[in-house]
Parts: sequence; structure tokens; C-alpha cells
Amino acid sequence: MSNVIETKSVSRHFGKDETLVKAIDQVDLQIEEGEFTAIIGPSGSGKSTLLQMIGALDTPTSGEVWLAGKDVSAMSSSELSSFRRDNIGFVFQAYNLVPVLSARENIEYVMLLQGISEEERIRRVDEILQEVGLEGREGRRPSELSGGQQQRVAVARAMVSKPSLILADEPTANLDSKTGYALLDMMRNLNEQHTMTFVFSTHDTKIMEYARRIVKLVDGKIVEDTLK
Amino acid sequence: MLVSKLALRNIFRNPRRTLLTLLLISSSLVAIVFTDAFTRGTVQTMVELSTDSLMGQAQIHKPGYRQAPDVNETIHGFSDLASRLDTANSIDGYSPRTVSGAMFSSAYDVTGGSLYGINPDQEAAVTDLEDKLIEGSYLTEGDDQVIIGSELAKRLDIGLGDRFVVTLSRAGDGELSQVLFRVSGIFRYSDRNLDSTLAFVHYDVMAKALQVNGPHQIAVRFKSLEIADDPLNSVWKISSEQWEFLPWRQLAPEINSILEMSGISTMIVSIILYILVAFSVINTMFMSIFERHREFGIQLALGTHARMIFGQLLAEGAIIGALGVAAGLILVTPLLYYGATVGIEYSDIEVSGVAMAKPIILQIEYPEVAKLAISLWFVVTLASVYPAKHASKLVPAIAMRPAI
Repeated sequence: MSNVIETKSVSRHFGKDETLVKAIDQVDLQIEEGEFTAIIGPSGSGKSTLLQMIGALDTPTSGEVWLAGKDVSAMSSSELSSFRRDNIGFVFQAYNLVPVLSARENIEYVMLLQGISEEERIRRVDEILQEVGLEGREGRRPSELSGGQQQRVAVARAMVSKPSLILADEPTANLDSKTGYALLDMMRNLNEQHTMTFVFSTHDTKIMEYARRIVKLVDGKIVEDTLK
Repeated sequence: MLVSKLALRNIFRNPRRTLLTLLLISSSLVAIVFTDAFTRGTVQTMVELSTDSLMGQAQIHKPGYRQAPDVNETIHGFSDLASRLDTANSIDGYSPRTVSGAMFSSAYDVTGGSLYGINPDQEAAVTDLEDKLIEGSYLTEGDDQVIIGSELAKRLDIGLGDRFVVTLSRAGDGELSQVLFRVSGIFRYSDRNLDSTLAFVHYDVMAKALQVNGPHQIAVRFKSLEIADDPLNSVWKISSEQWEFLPWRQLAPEINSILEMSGISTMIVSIILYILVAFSVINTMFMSIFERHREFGIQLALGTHARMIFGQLLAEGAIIGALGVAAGLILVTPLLYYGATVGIEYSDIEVSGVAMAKPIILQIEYPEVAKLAISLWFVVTLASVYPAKHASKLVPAIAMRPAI
């Protein structure tokens, strides 16, 4: 198995002098293809920042981030956009759907950016709507969906373009436990069926049980890395 | 497709804000277009009032007469000139006049003024003197008839049928000559200068009193005012050592200056409103962008290129601009229609020495309206470049952070 993610001494600092905050400090991490990994840690430990570095959403203060064998730290803004579009799916804590687009349009957004034909888009969206159990709700805007439904749309959006890596930042934080577990079941099934690499952050100990590998962060440093 | 869909939906996401922005753009266009049409209408009315009055659209004199009017300086070769004017296709009419300074007296008072000798029919084809009569009748057959201004009548305390004695200096020997007239008509131009100093009698009577053989000036009316401005017109060739041809722009340089400045005033109003609109659009778009920081962060995170975010916001600006301009054109249409048909009453207000004795009819120049509308749309679109640039440069991780 090859490394999908590799960080080399990655640091991300905010502020300076007395206000300096080391959100991530010299983190070395390798994640292989098909892993279902949880990054855990208390609030403020740097979980979200590490995911942002891995997802090429922010630039590290120092160090390198390699994704699918490419150094994303050296890519231009335009190259990063294309890379994210073609390789990474995101699921955020606050769902982060585009409010003026319907569920279907949100799901097909990345495919539109990729220039996939309308016929193919319709086919894939119909398929994934069934998988995430949202048939019949595809015409609704995010404001007309419950939190769980919105997060399902977000998962569908992340997966429909078939990226090699899915990053989920506290995906269950805003959901009740039943919906949260259902979502994790779904994510794990998709991981097994499609061999996608899943990396998600959480501080919920019950949810950690779903992961096959747990990386624990404290004060921006990896303090534990456990394979189950 | 995706860009225009997102742009359109975002525009109507906050209808009140969009409506206020559209109102600002449309009312600015209404103001600019109306100002342009009103300025053109005002100048046009001033030109018409001036050229319809005593001045005419052009005048012919003996060279140098206008600088130093003298009863001896009559137009030589008048019959030759008249035959040339008779055959000129572009001329509607011309009116030869004798002109002299004179002393006017009644049984009660005396005052100075200018006496004009005219051929009533020819004068009526050139100026609106006959239409300005408020009492009595225009000059007819009687040799002793005179029509005088309303202020002059008041000053001399005379009315219709009263005696009006003119004392003037004869050409040649300069001897004084007195002629008795009876007031047959009283005119009013609502111009103090014209109404208090002018009197009109028959051409032949005055020529006889002055002992001159030709007119001092010929007022000319063309088939259209534009012809007077056309230096290629054959009438211009009348100018020679013998005859000086002066179009209205040279006869009334102050009105010509106003005409030339009218374009500048519209431009100034336009620039002020364009700047106002541009800053308002920038402000509104920034408000909208700050509210949508997280969304732009999401779009960028999903792989949207910065240029697409830029394009989306530019499209929003262009669509708002187009809608605002369209609304402005719809709003201004009834206003222009009313102003161009009924006119705007400025009754008897004097502007730059011209009494606005008739309603100002708005002059609509459609190419100019199109130019102003397109310029405003361009300004709105251009104003959205700065906020669009800002949004396209957002870092996804920072843009998606929840606002405090």
C-alpha cells in the first residue's frame, strides 16, 4: 500500500511573539490508501488545522505536505484548486453546503467543475442519493433539510466525484448520536466498498470505535498512533 | 452556466438589499438621462426663443455695421442680394429692416429706444413678432401705424390709438426728423430690454424718414436651425466685402457658450452620480461578500478556481447593473414622454438674458441615452471588480472559520 498522505515536519503557527500559537508543531504522519483513520484530541489540540493542512486548504508555516505523491506545499493556488477538485472530498462539521443550490445541485457541484457530462452526473447523483438515503429530497435546498440530511448531502457531495481521499472534520458533532452513528456506518461502508481513504477528526470516544487507526493529538503534536 | 446560476440566485437571496441597489442604479440613470434631456431642451428652447425673436437665425449687414451701427451704413446692392436670397432653397424667409436709435415721446413722457422699419409680411416669416402682440393688431396698410413694447407703453403711459412721436436723425446730413404715429399694437416678449426699448413701423415710412435707400440689416430664417450652423451651406457664400453674413451663434455668443457648456454640465452630473453608484455598489457587494465568506471558502475548498469566484461576482455586478439600467429606462420613459410632449413650464423666468416664454420641451437624443445607460452598466460592473478580486483571493481555511 502506498502513502496517500504524508506530512513532513508540518507546523502551522498563528500570531507572533507573545500571541504565538503553535496549532500544529512538527507533525510527521503517513496515511496509506484505504485507511479509515480518526484524528482525536481535545478541543484546540490542532485536529481541524491538521485536516486543513492535509486537505490543502491552508499553507503550512513550515514543513511539507505530500498527497498522492505530490508536494502540495509547492503548488500554486490554481494547481491546488484543481488538485482538491480531483482528489479530495470534504465533509465539514457545519455541513457547509451552498445554500442557494438544491441537494442535487450541491452533490453535482464538483462534477460540474470537473466537466463531467450531464448524463453521467445525473446517473451518479441518483446512485449516491440512494446510497445515502435521500431519494425524493434532491430538490430541497439545505435550509429545507434536517442537520442529518444536510450532512448526508455533504457526504454524498464528497464521494460522488470519486476522490481518492475524504477528509471529514467532526462530521458528527452537530448530529444526535443515532444520526451520527448512522452516518459513520455509512462512511465506513463506503470506505469498504469503494476503497476510499477516510480521515476524520473527532473528540467523541464512542465514535473513535469506528476507526481502524487512531491518531491522538495534544497541543499540536502527535502523542499516540494506534492501529486497531 | 454554473457561474450565472450562482450569480442569479445570490442576487435574489436578499431581495431588500438587491431592490435598494437597483433603486439606486435606476434612479441615478433617471437623473442622468433627465438632466441630459432637460439641459438639451433648455438650450434648444433658449436658441428657439432667441432666433424666433428679433435676432432671427442669421443676419446680413454691411461689414462692420454690428460693431458700430450707423444709419448711413445701409446694405448696398440690396436688390441683387434680395434676388439671391429669393432663389436660395435653404431659406424660409428674410426680412429687410431699417434700424435707428430714436427718441420716443407721448403726451406724458419721453424715452429713448430703437425704431425698426419692417415689411410686416416678410417679418412675420422670420420672427414671432406678430404672435407676441397682446393688444391691438399687427402692422397693416396705414402708414402711421406703430407697434410698441408693453413696458415702453407703460413708461410713456399710452395705449392703443394714442399718439407716439418719433424723433430720429436722418442719414447724410444728420438733421432731426419727427414723425407722428398712432399705436396700433402692443407686444410683449417678457424680456425687459425688448419690451421697453423697441418700436416697429412700416419699412417704407422709416426709410423715407431716415432718407436711406436700403436696409441696415436683413434677418434670415432657414428651413431648419441646423442649416444656419452648416458652414457648407450656400448662403454662407453671400458673405463678401459687400455683405457680412452672421449666423445666430455669432449674433448671440452667450447662448452659443451655454450650448457648448451644456454637454459639460451633463458630464459633471454623470460623473458625480457614477462615482456615487460605484461606491454604493462596492459597499453593497462587500457586505454581501462578508456575509458569504464561508460559502466562498466552501466553493474554493471543493476545487473552485479563484477565477470562477471572480467571474461569479463580476456576473452578479453585471446582472445587477443590467437590471438597474433596465429599471431606470422603464422609470424614465414616462417622465421623458411627458417632458417631450407637454414640456416643463418655466413661465417667464429669465435664463442668461432669455425669457423662457414657452415650456421647455425635453430633447431626447436616443444614442446619448444609450451611451449613458451603457456607461452606467459599465461603471456598476467595473465597481464589482474590486470586491470580486477580494473574494477570489480568500484562503479556504480562513474563509470557512466561523465568524465571532
